Amino acid sequence: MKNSEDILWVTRVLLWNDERAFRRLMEKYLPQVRRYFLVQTMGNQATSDDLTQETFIKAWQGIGGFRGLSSFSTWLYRIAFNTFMNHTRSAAWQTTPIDDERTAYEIADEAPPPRRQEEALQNAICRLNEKERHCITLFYLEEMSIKEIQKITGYPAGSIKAYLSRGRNNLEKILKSDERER
Amino acid sequence: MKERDRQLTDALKKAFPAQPEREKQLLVQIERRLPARKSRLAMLPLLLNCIAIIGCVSLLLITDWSETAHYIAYITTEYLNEGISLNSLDYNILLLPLLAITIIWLLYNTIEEYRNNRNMDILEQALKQR
Repeated sequence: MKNSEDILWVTRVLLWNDERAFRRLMEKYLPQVRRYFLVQTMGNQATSDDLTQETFIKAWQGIGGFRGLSSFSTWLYRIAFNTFMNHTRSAAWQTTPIDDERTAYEIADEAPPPRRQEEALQNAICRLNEKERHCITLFYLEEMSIKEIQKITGYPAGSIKAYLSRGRNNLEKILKSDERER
Repeated sequence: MKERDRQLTDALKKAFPAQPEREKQLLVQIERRLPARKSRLAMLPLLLNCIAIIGCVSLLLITDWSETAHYIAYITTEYLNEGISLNSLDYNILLLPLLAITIIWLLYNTIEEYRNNRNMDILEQALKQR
């Protein structure tokens, strides 16, 4: 039902170039896509905003390429994933290590006041490696299935399971060591 | 989903909360930046013309021209010798000029359609640059 509604909007965009229909799709998926980038960029709001913009503009331009073989969200996340991969490959990208005292969310201008537990989790997820972070974000935060993650990232199902398990263990270790330090 | 997984999902959602105001601003920014995209229906006349041209050309190709040439020669000789009336003509012969006119008209239409689309693109680009 959820997907058929998306397909209806996509059809309207395709046939009548309907910007309102695309707006509906954006309203639905923009927060999720932006949150995905926030995790990947370690809380960098400006970069996340830029990447979100790029993703939706690419989706608008290439919506004719959506064949309905997967859900619209999977197709959109695939664009987001590729956009992020291109971004990391570009020379401009440099991973800035997270300051232990201040999380990336705190650095941002519109930062909600995070509690200690949430702050620790933000820090911990930023310390995972890229593949683990992608899989953890898509599986836990965006609640996608292994099959969907496979379609988005192109990683084999076995590897995704391994990244998830390793990511979970690493998160636990980081959180525990942080707790001890405090 | 296992209980442990559910807890992690909830914790992550709390750690990366939604920022509705910023998301709204971003949405407006994206809307402003969306490039003009031509509707697929705008290409329909061009597509139909192309199909019609392919149809006409195929018809011309499958026509048995040697038979037609003989027929035209026969009619011409008969007309010159005996002055036959138009009523006795095979009306299939009228298909030829009709086909030729149709092809010319379709070609003209297609070129016009293509030029219109191109002009629209240029206009949109100019408007965007402003």
